[in-house]
Amino acid sequence: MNRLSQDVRYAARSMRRAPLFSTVVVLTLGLAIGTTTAVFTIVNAVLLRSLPYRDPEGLVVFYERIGKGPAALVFGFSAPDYAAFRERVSSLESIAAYRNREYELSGVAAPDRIMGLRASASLLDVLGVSPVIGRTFTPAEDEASARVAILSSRLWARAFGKNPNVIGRAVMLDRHPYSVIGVLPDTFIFPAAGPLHNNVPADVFIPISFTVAERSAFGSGYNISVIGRLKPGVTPERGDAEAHDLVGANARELYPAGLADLASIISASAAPLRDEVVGRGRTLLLVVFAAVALVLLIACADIASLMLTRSLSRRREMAVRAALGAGRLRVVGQLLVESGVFALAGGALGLGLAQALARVLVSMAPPSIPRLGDITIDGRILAFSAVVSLLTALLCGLLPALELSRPATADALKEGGHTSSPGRRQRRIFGSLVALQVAVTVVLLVGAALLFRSFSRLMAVDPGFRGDRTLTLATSLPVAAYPTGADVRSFYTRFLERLASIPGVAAVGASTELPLGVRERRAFAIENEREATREIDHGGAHELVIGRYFEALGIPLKRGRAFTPQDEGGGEPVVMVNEALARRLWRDDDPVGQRIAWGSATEHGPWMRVIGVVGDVKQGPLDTETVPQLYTPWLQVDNQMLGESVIGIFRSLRLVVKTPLEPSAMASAIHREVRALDPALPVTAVQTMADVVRTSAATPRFNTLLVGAFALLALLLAGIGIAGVLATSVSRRTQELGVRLALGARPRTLLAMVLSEGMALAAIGLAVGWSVAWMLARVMGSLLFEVHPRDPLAFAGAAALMGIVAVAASGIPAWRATRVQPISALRRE
Amino acid sequence: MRLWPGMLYRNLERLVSEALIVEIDPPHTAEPAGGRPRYFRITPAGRRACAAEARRLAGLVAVARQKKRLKA
Repeated sequence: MNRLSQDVRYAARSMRRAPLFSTVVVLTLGLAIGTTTAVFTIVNAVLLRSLPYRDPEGLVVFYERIGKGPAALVFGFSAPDYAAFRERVSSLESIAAYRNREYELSGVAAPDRIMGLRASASLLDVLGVSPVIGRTFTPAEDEASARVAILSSRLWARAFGKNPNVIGRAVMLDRHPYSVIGVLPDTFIFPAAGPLHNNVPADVFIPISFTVAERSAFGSGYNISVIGRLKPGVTPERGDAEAHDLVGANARELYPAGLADLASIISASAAPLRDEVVGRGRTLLLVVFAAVALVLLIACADIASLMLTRSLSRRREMAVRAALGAGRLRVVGQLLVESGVFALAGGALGLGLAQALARVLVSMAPPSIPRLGDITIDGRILAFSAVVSLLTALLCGLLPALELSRPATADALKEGGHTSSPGRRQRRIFGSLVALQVAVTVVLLVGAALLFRSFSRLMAVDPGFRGDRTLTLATSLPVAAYPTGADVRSFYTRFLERLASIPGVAAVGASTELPLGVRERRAFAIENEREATREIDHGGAHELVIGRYFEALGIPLKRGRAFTPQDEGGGEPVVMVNEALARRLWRDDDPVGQRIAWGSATEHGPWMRVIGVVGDVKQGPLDTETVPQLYTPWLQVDNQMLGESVIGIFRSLRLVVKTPLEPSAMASAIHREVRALDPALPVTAVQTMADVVRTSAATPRFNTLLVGAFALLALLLAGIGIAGVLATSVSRRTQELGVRLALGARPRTLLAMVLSEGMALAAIGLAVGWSVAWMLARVMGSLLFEVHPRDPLAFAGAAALMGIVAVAASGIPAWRATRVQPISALRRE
Repeated sequence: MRLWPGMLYRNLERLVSEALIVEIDPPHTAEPAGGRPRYFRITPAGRRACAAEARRLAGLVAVARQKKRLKA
């Protein structure tokens, strides 16, 4: 112990004596260990952590399949099929059904829309979880459609401030009071992201309470998720086989005669819950983890090379120690402690970095990775970090330690001493490693450059509207408070009037969908269509708009006019089209005055008159083509449709407010107006249109940042690698260099000599890297927008950057070479 | 043809198995919703079948109109 503390203190002192070296080593190790730990944190949260339910290995998710063979369409269960399955299944000890449903939450400080779950009374039993307060619903409550609710811990905190006296209090969902009967544990999350359906974590749990209509709906509504717990000893495969046969048999027995052909192709399948939750993100995560682990290994190799250099300059010190009686083991031990101190310092730095880095990664991760909601640094992470640090210490320190602890010769005791022959082989190994590193770095740099150019091109695309100084928000009117279409119409009319009257508002409009997110597609027919265009696809996007929508978004009017209050008050049905539609179906003619109807040429709805043409607006991400689009006035929809509540598409609108004011100031003004009209109505998705554009490019941005970060890290490590190899080389040739200087060589010549050694390595790496990047280029094609995968600018840029770093990295050892004192070098002879 | 829910799933499956439509991933901007909608796209073969069917129906309509005129 005494010895250990002695070694540690000595290590700390020698670190202080070489500040540049120590800083570079600790920072590099910190970076490498930090990224590895950060990725491991995510791997742990997603893949290793057990699911927050009792004995999760026994849980299976069931799907119905429509169609034969592996290409069958996979759906959830229909209510009657679930009832029959539940009654007759034998391989399960418990079973439950559930379905996500969004609710409006009011009666709390800030009304909101939350995701809920309609669930069987048996769900918590299947999962083996009990509420921390209160109870779950009884089957009787499920049967009776009782208005009771169990809250998630998060909702309990938000709506009731974690007040323990919450049982029996009411929470308003869709304007109906639900009595709170229980609160769930902190760590409980259900449903988990990952499975095909019903995969959004819920904040409130309601009895599933199938309606009579649902219970008798054979052949429809295949959207219920079913989860079961296998009996002890029963395998998931058996559960799958039974489900397959049983559901099919039930269908053939119970479906009405008219659906016999449907029943004949119905079956089911089962999959362990764990696979469903974790399966989808697994490959990506493991690939990233492997990449990061590789980075760590490379960092170790580079640091080892640097440490070797340093150790060579301490040859005399070690020889003295050996002469004074230290055994080889002792010397190795001391050197390992030194590298251990470096590694632990790096590890501590890395741990801090890992936390921040993990948070950044989670915020940017694609939605296909599940379970990222609650990432914590727990014991396993700390242990991982410690183990990695120690392994790193070993890897970095072992080679120099062994080399240095070689039995001393008399030469070594003199100043300097000859290099020993293992040097040449080592140099080749390290040299090849560095060249390989350069190659990998060049490939990554080319990839990053391509992605970066592609992303810049993407963000330069004109989406067709003005995103700055434009705020958007969403509202959805619950049927309990707005039962008829007249109520819906009246609210939105007044809401738009009030918004327009806020000082600082330039224009207000609303639509059923926002640009970059228009999903609705319909077929349409044209009156008196010419032969020439009959074969063209007559499908278009459709939005219903109200107010000064085009003005608020800065969408230009190209021909004709926009909707006016006269149009909206009734009278001839009118429609506006975008330029893409006009070009495709009327070429250079003016579509204004022509008539369009929904449907096909032979069977269509009432004719609508085209009154105007607007500029093209992207309906999907920026790299998609603009499709033909039609706009009709929301106010021309009849009250019966407006009030429809089974799907309620007309009850939800996206409002657009154009204002020169600060978005946050405008947001509070808007909230005030909403509260004045209806204090219980939530306003959601408040963001600027610029945010909408930014979000649409989330995946390309993530890809670019990820590859870019890896490229920069690789660049740093390659630089260190080059520096290390050259420094070692210079160290070994101190004598030779001294002789040259003494014989009259100019320092500049020595500089050039060392530099060219470094550039030679870099050049080999560059050549290899360029070739690999050239060959792999095609693979990247699908990820790039308006950039050729073999874009010369990207290749040249990558080479230039690598070249600059190589020069810089070679610079320090080369400069050191010129500072060799000829006298002292000669004296060593 | 009477459209009722049972027909939807049956015909959906038929269209998919005959490669006239194909299921696709939800678009980027699709917000996660519990009962998420399913997205299908028509295939080139599907477009041809659709066009052929439309022509056939249009032909029937033309014949029917002609007959009506003759009768009148």
